[in-house]
Amino acid sequence: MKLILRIILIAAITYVLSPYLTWWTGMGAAFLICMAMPSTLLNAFVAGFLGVGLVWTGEALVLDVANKSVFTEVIIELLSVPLIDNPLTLVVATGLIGGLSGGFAGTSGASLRHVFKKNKPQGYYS
Amino acid sequence: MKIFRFAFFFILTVALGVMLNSKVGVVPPLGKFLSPFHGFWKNAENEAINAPTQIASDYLTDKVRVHFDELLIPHVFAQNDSDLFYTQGYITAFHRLWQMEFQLLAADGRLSEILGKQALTYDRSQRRMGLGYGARNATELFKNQEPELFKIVDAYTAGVNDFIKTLDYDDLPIEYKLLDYKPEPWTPYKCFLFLSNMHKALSGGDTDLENTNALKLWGKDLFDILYPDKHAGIDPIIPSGTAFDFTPLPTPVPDSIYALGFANPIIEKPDPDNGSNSFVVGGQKTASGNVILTNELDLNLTSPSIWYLVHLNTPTMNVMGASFPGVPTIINGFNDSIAWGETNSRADVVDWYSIEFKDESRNEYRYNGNWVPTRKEVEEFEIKGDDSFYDTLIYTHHGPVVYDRNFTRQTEKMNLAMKWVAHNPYKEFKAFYLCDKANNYDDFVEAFSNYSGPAQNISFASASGDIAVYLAGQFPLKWEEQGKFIMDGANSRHEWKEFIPYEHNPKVLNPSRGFVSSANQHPVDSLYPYYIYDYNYDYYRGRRINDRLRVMENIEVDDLMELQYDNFNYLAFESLPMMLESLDSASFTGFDLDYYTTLHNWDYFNEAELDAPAIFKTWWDNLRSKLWDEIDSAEVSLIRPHWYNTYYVLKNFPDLDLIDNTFTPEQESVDDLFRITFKETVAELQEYLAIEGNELTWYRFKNTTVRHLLRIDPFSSKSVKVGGYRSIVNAASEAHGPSWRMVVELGEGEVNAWGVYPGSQSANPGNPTYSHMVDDWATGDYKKLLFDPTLDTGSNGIVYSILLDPSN
Repeated sequence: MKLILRIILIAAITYVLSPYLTWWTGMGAAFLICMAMPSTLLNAFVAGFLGVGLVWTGEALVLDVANKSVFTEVIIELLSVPLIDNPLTLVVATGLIGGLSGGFAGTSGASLRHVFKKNKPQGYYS
Repeated sequence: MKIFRFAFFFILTVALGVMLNSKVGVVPPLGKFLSPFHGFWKNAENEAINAPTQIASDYLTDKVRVHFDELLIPHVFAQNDSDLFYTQGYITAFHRLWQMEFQLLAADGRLSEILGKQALTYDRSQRRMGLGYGARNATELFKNQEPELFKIVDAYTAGVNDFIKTLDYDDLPIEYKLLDYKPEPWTPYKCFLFLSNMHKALSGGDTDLENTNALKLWGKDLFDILYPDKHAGIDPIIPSGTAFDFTPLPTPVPDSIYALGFANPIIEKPDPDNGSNSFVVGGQKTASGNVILTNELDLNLTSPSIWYLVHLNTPTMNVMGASFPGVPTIINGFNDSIAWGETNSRADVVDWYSIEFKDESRNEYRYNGNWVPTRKEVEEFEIKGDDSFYDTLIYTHHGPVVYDRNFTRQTEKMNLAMKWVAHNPYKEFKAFYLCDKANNYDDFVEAFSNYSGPAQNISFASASGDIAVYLAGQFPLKWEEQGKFIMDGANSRHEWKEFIPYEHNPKVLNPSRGFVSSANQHPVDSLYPYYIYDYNYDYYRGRRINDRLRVMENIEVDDLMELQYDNFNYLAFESLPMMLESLDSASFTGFDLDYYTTLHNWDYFNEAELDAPAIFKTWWDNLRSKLWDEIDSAEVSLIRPHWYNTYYVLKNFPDLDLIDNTFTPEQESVDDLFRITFKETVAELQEYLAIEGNELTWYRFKNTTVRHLLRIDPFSSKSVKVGGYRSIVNAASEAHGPSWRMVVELGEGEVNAWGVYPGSQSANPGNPTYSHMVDDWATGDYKKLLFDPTLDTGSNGIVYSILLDPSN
């Protein structure tokens, strides 16, 4: 449950603050939430990855659908990267980039907590 | 232990963040670029216009209303000039900011800052030619001598800057995100620099260095056959027989004329096709009795378009037409009383002077038997991803030394200073501002007395029925052939010192033939008392236009639109019969016969769907390559004679040594040349068909492309279905052509105007209207321009309105 709570918190902060702050707002959110709430490193990675990644995927999907994929197609042609050949793959790639950035930031946050909170081994399993 | 683990993950995270924040090679910074809250996703627009309907501004003194019509042309209604031009700057930036800035980085020789080392040679040539030097001079002069009008430039600048201030990263045009940089503040200097850049585009194509090489290599007799100033039978802009009723100023010829030495230019020249057509018919030739003016500007076909359409209205001004993004005022268009358009005059206003330095230090140069000091400036070139490059520029009283030991591949020690009208400060803004408000011919003439260049044939029509063309710009007063070759920089008598008086410039008002036209051809016949030279005057479009206008009567607007799209290939009409005649067609079979028959049956119109134009073009290209092989393979830079002169030499000088192909032992005649190149053409087209598929359809073969300024394919329109070609009235060639077409009909109390250009007002590839006029442009589907001083929110044809408000 804590995992789900973390994901929701990270996602909410990312979603609300990103429009006003930089693209790495999600990284900051994942870092802070995983530092504030005890978790294993793997767990923190998953929380950061899903928290940021889902928001990026969702937001990209919403914009793409609203635009009927017109501009997404143009950018796909521009990037001409293997595997990215339809709007959905670019939406997923966007989510992956967001997810990875959030995942590593979450892991960093959790590992910083571990430096200070030495005596809470239960945190490893929560 | 845990601290190390944290350090490991933290460094990894930061490294990932930095990586996703950085441009790697051509890959944009992926984190920034892909973020759905910031990156390219935010450039996808679902509506044609996304802007607040109300904008507050401290700069304004009164309310300004901007109404956009269906073409997204802004109709700006302000109460005073300052508010008007502020808004022009703001709105132009709203649609075209990236282009405005990019074009000026290029003009300023600063592309290396965003594109890296690949742009350095280009940047150096821009600064060495003194584009910035001229623009700085002009800014200073204008500020000091025209403080009132300078406020226009200030207001425009403030408008652009206020728009830039509204932008966060996510609002930036996509090109900034791709190249990963940010807009910098606009300055008045940039407005002047834009005009310097137009000077380069339209008068930077001089051939003085190549002329000098050819003269030294071949002597004057052959030179004059290959590169004559003019031919018999030209159809000049000012109709032959027009009287020049003034006493010309004297132009004494010095004893020694040429300072010869081989010189190899390395500056990339603007497209020699930069030109235009404009024709105006008087009331006696039109069905309605109204005058009709047309203009089409042949420039590089770029996206975003070089033009931005706008309607500017104050209580004292009501003008509409095409503007340059980055320049206040309207450059060609119409108001309630007049319409005007431009075609390039091409006259040689660039001269080169060979400079002899006293010693290696280059602190002094020889002039009239004395040593006079130079002025040096060190230019810094910032380069993305590299250390800065420094270049020392040396200025003489002639102008900047463009070619010297640091920027040269000369075979001998040669220093060349450039003297160019564009280095002289002048008052183009005043010319355009006054023309925007002109009521009649006298106002118009007065307006362009403030104009130095790039020299233009300005066509004019008024609602009261006058038609005219006036060569505006400063033309150096020269003796015969002065400046056609490299001049002696030490001899003051080789310099031009003054200009042809403006009132002596070629002009014609209401000629008896009932029309005026210009298409970059020779401005005058040999009766004009001054020397005006250019090698690249056009020989074809002007003749075609005049041939047609002479016989057309009861002209309607549609007829002139059709003439703008005329695809008659004058070159083929004159040269193809001679070429076909030489072939032994009786022996032809298969493709030989096929192509021969196609050409034989062709009516010389370069229509989009025909095969013949592709065959003719290929043959003509092969012919020129074979014919001018000595020129192409020479060790010094030379130019090929232009098309008309190629035809002229083939027809009149069949025994010329150059006609023989130097790579074969036999002596070739002109007929041999035609036969050999026809065979080559058939073979080449077979190869083309094998690779490109099964057709020679002209528009596909030609592949007219409206190319994005960064040459990004998905942002460009390829293989546009349009006929025509170079030197055809419909001048749409591969990457060049009619960048804006306008037709204006003027009568008493009546102004009707139509226009179309291959692009869109919005420069955002993510906007639904991006490039929306390209197909209309290709087929000649002109758009009626909304020109109504009473437009308001909700008026018919208005799709969006913005109120700029000083009150907040």
